[in-house]
Amino acid sequence: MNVAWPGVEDAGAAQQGPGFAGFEPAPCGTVTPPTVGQALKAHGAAARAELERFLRAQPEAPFLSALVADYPRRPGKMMRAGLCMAAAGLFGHRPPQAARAAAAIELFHNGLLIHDDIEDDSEERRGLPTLQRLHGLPLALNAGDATLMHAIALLLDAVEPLGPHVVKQAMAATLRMSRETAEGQALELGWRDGGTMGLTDSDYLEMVLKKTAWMSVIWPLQLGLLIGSGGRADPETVARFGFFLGAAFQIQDDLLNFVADPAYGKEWLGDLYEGKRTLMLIHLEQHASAAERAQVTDLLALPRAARTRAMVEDVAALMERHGSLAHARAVAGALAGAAAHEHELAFGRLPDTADRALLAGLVPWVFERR
Amino acid sequence: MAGKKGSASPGGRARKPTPERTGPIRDAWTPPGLAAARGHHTGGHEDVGEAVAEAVRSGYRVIGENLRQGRAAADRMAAGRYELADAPEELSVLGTRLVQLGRELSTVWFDLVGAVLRDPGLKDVLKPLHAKAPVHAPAEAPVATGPMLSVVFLGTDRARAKAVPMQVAERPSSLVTAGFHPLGTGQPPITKVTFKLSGDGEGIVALVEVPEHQPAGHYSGTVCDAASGEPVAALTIEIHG
Repeated sequence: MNVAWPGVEDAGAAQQGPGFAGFEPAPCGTVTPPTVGQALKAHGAAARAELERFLRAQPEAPFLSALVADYPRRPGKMMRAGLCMAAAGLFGHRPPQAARAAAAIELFHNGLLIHDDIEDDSEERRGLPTLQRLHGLPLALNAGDATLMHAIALLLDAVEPLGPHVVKQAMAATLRMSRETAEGQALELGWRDGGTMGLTDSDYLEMVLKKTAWMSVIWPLQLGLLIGSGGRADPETVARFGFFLGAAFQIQDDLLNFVADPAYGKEWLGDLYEGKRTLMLIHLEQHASAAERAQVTDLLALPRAARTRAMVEDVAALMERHGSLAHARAVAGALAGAAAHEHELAFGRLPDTADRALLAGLVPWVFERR
Repeated sequence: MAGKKGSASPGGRARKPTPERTGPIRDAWTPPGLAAARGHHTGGHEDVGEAVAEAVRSGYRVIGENLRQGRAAADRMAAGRYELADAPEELSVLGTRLVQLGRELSTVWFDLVGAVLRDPGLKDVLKPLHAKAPVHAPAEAPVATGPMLSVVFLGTDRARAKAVPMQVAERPSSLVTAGFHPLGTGQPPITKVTFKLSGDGEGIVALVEVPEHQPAGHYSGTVCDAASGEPVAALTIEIHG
């Protein structure tokens, strides 16, 4: 469907870009166990039910309630909820509080998305206009704040029945995640706004660990682990698996940005428009000629509004020509392999359950999702 | 699953397209990057084996360092070096730190955390994090990158001081101090201070002898390298009434 939204430039291209010739975003064959999709759907439904219950229970606040409820009600994979629920079930019994905690995680995630979209001046989120496009920046920012606040309240509601030991560890994990996420976002924004060049793959991985892996994978796993074990399991157990899975997820997300698919939910080549320092951009800078590097630098030096589609497509073409996309795909695959290895280390001694299989199945799943 | 396009038989009947495979895929999943690292090329643009292996090594270094920093912070808290104030102020100090983090995310979080920590129900849930004599909390906990200077008081249980990181002199000799002087006026300084290596060998302990009738108040002083006169740490001592 090609819908022109007011204020959205080149909406036709944004909705139906031609894709990127020669690029295959899904490198793996069909190897994700079919139960992964089903399990995510089931866990997602449980978390959504809790989320909906919570949103309906809030008093109606003008110019706020509808905005807070917007993003959570847009379709999403609910991967973070699935991670929490699966981790909570690893020990044989999933406490009912897991669904509420999973809902809190998704709500927190949506609060950060609102802020992300403002910081990136994004135009679309999950196929629809971003909150600031619909309601203006001030109201969107306020809604993002409120969404984060609601998420913490919901999380406390979830873990308090489990006792002070779980509450303390859950809050400690949440504080750690908050700090890491803010630091990671600061790195990404600082690089972008400061015109930083000369980054390495290691720099990117550190940023992705902080910005993406902690919030999207490690934290949900840790909360699930704490809930499922009654606070007895060591949250650090899941950190390496969470990092490698999260890093593979993010790189694949960056690669998917080169695919024009409204179902993907983000603007085609949006990352290049935003000047995000992806693994592909870093690789291109390292392998491009001096003239090509200047072309990239010139693009990144422009304000976003001045970056034309032709300029962005030219840089994307350079990425393909220099093998930057193939490099990123290969790194993502290797990190996924490391994730599979760490999964075995972290969970290998636990019972062979559907939840453990789900966590293992998420590794190939990150490459096959749309 | 794509297959060959269906075709019509000589009799004109449409035929199903021939599937590319007729059985399940049973081989173990091999990420393409891992396959590349094992010598199978992908995409044909470059030999990605070493670059990919280095990416994985970088990944392990990155997460290792991140976890180490987290453990160091947790150890400081567990050892009582997180500078928590006396209960019931302890929660407000923890709240201050939460608030600082919250500021990075939103101002509304600021209000939420304050409200949550004022909740008597939650205060009962969050127990004091250590049993040692609490110390005054700084605006930010120091990040220990080298040896720490901690304090042991002799002759009194009225005194408190926080451990501080030390700047190591270029050519360390012994440590000296001119004593700890009152921030207010009229009180005598605390001058009987000696230094020794900490039990774990990784820091210094200042043994401070506090006179029995030392007036309450704050006292501060600089610890210097004896040979170069270079300051290595600043200490503040609090004497309670």
